[in-house]
Amino acid sequence: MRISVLNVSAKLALSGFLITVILAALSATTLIGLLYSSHDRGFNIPEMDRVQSHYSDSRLIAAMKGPMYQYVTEDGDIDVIAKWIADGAQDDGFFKDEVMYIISEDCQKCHSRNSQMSKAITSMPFSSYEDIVQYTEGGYSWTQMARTAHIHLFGIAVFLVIVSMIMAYSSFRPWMKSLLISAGWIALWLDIGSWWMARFYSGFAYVISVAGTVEIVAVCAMSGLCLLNLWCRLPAIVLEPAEQ
Amino acid sequence: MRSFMQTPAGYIGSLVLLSGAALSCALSSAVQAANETLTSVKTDTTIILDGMAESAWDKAPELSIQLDNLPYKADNYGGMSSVNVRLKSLYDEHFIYLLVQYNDPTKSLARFPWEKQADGSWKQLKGKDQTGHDNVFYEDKLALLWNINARGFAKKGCDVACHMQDDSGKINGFDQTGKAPGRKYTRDGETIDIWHWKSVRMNPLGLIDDQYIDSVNDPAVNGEWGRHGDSKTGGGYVDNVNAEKTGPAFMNRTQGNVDGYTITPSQKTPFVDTFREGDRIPGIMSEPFTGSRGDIWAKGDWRDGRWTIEIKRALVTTGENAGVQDVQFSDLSKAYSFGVSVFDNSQIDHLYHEGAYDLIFK
Repeated sequence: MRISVLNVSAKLALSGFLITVILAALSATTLIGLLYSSHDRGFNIPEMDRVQSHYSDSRLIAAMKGPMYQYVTEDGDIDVIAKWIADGAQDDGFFKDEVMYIISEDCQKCHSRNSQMSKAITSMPFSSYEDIVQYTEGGYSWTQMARTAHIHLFGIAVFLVIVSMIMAYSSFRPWMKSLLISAGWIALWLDIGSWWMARFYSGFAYVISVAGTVEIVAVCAMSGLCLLNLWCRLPAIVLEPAEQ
Repeated sequence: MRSFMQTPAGYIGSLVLLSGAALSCALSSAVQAANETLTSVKTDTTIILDGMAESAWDKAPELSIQLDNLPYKADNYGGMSSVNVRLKSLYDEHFIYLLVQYNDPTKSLARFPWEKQADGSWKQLKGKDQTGHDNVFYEDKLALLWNINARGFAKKGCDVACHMQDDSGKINGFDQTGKAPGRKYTRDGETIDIWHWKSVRMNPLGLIDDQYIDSVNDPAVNGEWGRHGDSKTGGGYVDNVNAEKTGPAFMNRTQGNVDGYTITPSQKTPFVDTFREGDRIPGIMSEPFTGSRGDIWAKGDWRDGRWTIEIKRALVTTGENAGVQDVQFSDLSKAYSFGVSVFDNSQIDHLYHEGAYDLIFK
């Protein structure tokens, strides 16, 4: 059984799925590019310090360096708050005079219970010490990590097993199929696993970046190759011997 | 090379490279489309301020800015929720010119008009929201904010001057409940220039209300907090109301002008009530500002659902306190950060964008 011998309707169904997977992968790449890249508008290559910050720093600092960076008046403001957190995030004079001033200038317009601004986040107010201190724990909290990780693992596994199975029934050489299928799964485990490890050592942000890239490339490559196999005549060099 | 591509690895590698190249092209196009700079182009042509985009503007590149944020939800706001503002700029030896165009389905000019009632009395029409500001009987406005020396403006734009109520309804410790959702002021020693075009109060006079924002953050010092008009030697606008506050004090010399929702000096005539029920009289009277507050000329025209506004100002102004209150385009090799907001028949609720844009001279 090979996907190349399916009837046209079945090929159309698989093609729709594979094209959707590629589009989803590109959307995910765009999102990552926007979240971890430029301080300017538009898509740019993700920056490692932002990836490290996302997985190692407190959520407050990670947000100020990442998706909320555009609202931070100056980089020095992030340093002030990072210092406060490093010193124990106490409800002291430094917090009242320095930290709250920055928070009120840069965050509170949207992060307040009564905000009516277009991008108001009333469910996450930054109005008091109690509001803010809960976002000062380093890295993802265990709860946040577990919530995010299980959603990603379940979600990615569902489409990865389908793409992998389509690839498995393609006409490509066995080693090519094994390589791409293995790469997709191993990269997934390394990626999610490193989210946890980066909490202890920020160097795992590099593993996250590399594994995430491999994951995207493997998924897109498998999808693209399967589409070729469905509709095009492949050169003999990539076909398994029985198909040549 | 050919033999490499005939291997399985070469074949897949080539496909990946081709896909990557295609993706890169698509993404780089997207990046290039994100235009953040308004380029002012030198011109020898005389620009006539009439709210019509003459051919001289064709040589200026357009900057398109999407405005889709509002600072608060006014309970009677019926205006636009987003608008695309298109800007062009020209300059000559002495002046800078701006062309601003945006679609607005409603031409809103009826700013607090007096209307004759069935019983012969006069009522000033108002439609205030929960903060005491009007969104029903007001005027279309546009504001351009230019950074002079405000920390963070080049990155955050107008947001650096925006201060909203906290959870207890206070701004800088002053209760603003029912007064204003937000106030504008800067940090100590910082100023931002405001070019505030007002379709009723200033457009008939061909001027912009030149204002600025400074660090005043106490309503006891200034009722408008950090927002001030530039220094002036005369002119301005005042309410058209009689001593008893029961009706207008003056009227237009010529009636039936539907655009005439302010009374200019040449129109000003003592009020004589020969009107019928439903007739309206302007609620405001305008005279041209003189001095620094009146050193920006502008004319807007609404046609077929679109405002076209032409603006002219000296590259370098020399009026009283111009050095503090006005942005000075004295170095044409520099970038000048600015932001734009549109008020659709609203007193203070305005559409704005995040971040800042740069004006450069070519």
